[in-house]
Amino acid sequence: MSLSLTLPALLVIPLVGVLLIALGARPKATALWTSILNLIPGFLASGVVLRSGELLFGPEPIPAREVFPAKFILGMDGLSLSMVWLTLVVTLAAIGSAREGIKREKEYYICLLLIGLGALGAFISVDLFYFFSFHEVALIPTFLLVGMWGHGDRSGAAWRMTVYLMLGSMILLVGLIGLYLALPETARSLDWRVLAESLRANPIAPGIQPILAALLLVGFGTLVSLVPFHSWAPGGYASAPAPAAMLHAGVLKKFGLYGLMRVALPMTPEGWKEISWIVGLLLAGNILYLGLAALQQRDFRWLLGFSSAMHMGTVFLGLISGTVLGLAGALTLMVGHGLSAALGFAVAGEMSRRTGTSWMRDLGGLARRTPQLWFYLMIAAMASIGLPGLANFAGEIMIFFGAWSAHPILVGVAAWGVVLSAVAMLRAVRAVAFGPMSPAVEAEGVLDLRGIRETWPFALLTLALLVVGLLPVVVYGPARPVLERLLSP
Amino acid sequence: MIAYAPYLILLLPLFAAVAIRLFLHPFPRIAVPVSVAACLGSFLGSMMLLSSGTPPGGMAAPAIPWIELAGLKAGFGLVADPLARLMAALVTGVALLVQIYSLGYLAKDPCRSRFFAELSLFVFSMLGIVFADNLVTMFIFWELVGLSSYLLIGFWHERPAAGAAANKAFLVNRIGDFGFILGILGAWSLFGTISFADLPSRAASGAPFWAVTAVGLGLLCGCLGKSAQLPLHVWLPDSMEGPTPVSSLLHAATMVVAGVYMLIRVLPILELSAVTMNTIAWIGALMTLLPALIACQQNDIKRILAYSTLSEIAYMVMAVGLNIPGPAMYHLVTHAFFKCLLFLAAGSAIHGCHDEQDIWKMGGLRKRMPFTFLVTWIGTLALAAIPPVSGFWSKDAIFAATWDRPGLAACSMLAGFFTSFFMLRMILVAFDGKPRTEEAKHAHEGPPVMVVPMLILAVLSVLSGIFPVAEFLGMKPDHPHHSWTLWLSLILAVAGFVPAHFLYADAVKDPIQIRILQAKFYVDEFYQRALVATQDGLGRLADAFEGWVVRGFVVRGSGVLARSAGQGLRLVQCGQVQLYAAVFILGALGIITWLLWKGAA
Repeated sequence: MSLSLTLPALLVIPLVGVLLIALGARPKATALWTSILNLIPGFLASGVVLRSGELLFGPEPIPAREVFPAKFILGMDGLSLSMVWLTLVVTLAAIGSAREGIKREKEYYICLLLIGLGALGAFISVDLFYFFSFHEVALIPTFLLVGMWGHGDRSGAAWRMTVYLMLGSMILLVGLIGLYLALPETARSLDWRVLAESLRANPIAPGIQPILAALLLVGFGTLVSLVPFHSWAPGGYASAPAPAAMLHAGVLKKFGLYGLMRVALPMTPEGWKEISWIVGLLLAGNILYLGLAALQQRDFRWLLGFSSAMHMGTVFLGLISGTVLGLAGALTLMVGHGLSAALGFAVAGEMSRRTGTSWMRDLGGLARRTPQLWFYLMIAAMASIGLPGLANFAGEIMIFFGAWSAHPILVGVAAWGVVLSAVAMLRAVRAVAFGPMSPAVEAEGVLDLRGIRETWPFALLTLALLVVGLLPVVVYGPARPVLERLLSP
Repeated sequence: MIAYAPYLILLLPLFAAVAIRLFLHPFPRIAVPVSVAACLGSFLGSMMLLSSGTPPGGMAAPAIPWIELAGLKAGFGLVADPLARLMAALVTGVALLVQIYSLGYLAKDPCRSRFFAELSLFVFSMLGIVFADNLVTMFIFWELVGLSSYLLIGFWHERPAAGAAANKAFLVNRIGDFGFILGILGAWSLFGTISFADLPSRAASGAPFWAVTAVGLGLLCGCLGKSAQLPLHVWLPDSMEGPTPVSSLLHAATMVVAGVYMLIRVLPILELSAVTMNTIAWIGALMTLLPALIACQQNDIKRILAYSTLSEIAYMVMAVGLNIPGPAMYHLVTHAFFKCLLFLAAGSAIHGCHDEQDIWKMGGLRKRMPFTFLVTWIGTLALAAIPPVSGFWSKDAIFAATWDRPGLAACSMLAGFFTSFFMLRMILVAFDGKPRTEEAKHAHEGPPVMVVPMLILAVLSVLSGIFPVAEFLGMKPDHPHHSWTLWLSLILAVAGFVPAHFLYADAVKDPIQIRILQAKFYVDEFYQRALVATQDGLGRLADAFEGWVVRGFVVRGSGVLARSAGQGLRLVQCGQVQLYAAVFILGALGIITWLLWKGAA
């Protein structure tokens, strides 16, 4: 058996899970076991990537004119490696913490599996067409999850998400097609390895580069909730059922950043330089504007939504740093943010499931009532405010060092963002966990997380945050050669 | 072999904290001894390290790599130079005594496993600061110390004030760390290194004056936060909401002096700018005096001591600003003993009076708690710098350096006057006279586990002046000793007792009422109204705009959008999920294929 088959296996296993659930297998158990099983091809593929740097599946690229230029080529390198693992781990935790016995359980778990499947597909697609389409595959179940199983103003939130993200995707698509068409006919390809080479040989005219870069920025930026294209995010996450918020904020959102890193930065380097001041302004908006707005949230899930969108600003700073250190930091922070956001939404989900509310005013005293849940709340909060030892700090510090020489003021803004997010998070923790117990918390039947059956998804995410935080080399090490190539002229 | 000792000393408390969190949490009878044993192990290791000589090649153990990428090499490197060895012995020693004391103080608390786990976490983080050989490692442990302080201040979860104080401590420190991290980044870009060992040689290479000043002030911000100096001092008095052993270990003896320790580590950078050094010296001088004034009108026994801590740390900060790190460390050591003693004694009084902290509700404790009374006096003499007790020697070394800086001398010596005043006030009100409440009538000494640590600290408070700290560190001051500083400071210190005696002997209520001192110069109010309110106002604005944009989008989004939304959702609701999804995907795929095909043709 060729190890390159592990790549399609990563996609086939969840698909089999989807089919089995559709045919009537027990939804949660099936989803869980397929997600666990999917770790095996993950391990095998990673082994190859770590040994030889790259793993490919599919036909060799032939730069020939064809009616339909897209090819189903899967590939994994040091950069996709950490994204794939982020997806595997967060999917496992999301499904592990999903509830049983809800309405339309079958569809619920199918949607969850599909998000994971789409994200994995996007991260291991080498062909831009499939790269884009897999992301769409993952978006649709997200909308459905919010619209059907969400809370609060779920239809409004779902619709807002749909409009924003679909518009963003369309703009992104125009940008991607633009990249393709900007090349002379003989050199065109959708395979990004070929595309990058061709663009290196035939750089896009300087007049067009900024336009393409801007299209890609808006397109990917909308998916990443870059200010001012962010309005879908806080409310969307607040309304989404916890596993959907975990999967989208944790994994799917990283698609946009991954795309910027993989496609936009190396393919339109001049254009990117030209618009980097705009990116700077926007990312400062993410950090300061959303950070300030986060201070005023009354609902814990809204707070997490704002704070999650806010941290994207720091990742953007890493992207425009122009140094390997900054890019490596961005990648590390992407992983850290994915894990910590997932943990945060998981805790918020448990909290509101148990007490029946996520309004901070109605909570209080959780630390005494549910010490286990409080522990993981602290981990999520501390990770997101950049406590050393957890993954986010490693990413942030690398971004700060990497971007310092090019953008000292933005580093200052990002460092103040750390203060803002600490204020927002700790106020929330105080309202939720400290003080005397509120009636909602004191009510009978409010139980702590119990036993390994309920805690393992939380423990898994915590462990991953610790591993990346203490040994960030597991993320940036394999990606380093790829990042160096992205930056080389 | 001995090169690895710092790792062992550092990691033992971490193991204890992790083991308690993971396994021993439900069994305090095992968890508590594990924590104490780990601390004892670290203490013995530190003492071995302290008594062993430095091998000629230095004592750096191999660093554990953390981030190694173009331009940045940050690893967990530990260094055991004399400064670190002295500090490690001090931290573990005091921590051990406080842990033993806590055995009695928290004997009945159902959450004591958590308390000891958090205390172990603190010892680990603090030792990390002590042994760090570069700025990034120090920053990492700096933040972890902030976390353990936050957890310990908020230890009694159900008390609202504890949660508020914990938040305040963490957030004010974060503001200081904002400057600290920018200072680290600046130092790295100016000197190309984050390692303390390389700083002296790199710093001499010459960098623009404004840049070294900015970097120095940035690093100073870190100290202002952690060591609670002006203008970031507001969190320390509030942190007294934590259990008294915590106040004694973190917020008096060890954690709050980390800022001074850090300044000494980066002194080669600070020295480059006279502006930075003067700023440090003047912040120190002002902070000796202002908290001493405030303490004269406080009624909570722990808050009185907290303000005196602010004032004492300021002496060390001023010493750093005067470029005499030896005396700064000397005072750091003696202060750790006598201030820890004073807090433990205060804790004993509080414990004896069933959690009463108001000195006006105590009274007459001298008869019921003679031992506590005695050690409080010993601590007071040390704090007021009365010879021959330790505090006298260390403060005198600092005063001596102010001989040509009259402004600094005036502030810091006047502070000595008020220190004597408020300490005697505290003793007279709390221990003298008649018991003013039922609790005070039935006060009693604590169990032996509480008495013995106080005894040891009392002995150290008297004798620690004979430690040749500056010589051990190789930091002997080289300027002459002018005797007028000694006499003047001593006269002022003794003079402070006089008005206190006349005002407070047998007083039942405070004869003087100075509003501005009771209100702590209104600094908290100013911050609340000016800074917090501004930030929250901006936040409300951002939130309102956000709501308006979102709502606006929905309201003004065309009717078509809304209708199709309704249709889409109806499909969802009538169960045609698969159909909806399939149509969507097919549609999207169709458009894309068409576009691509057109492009290719």
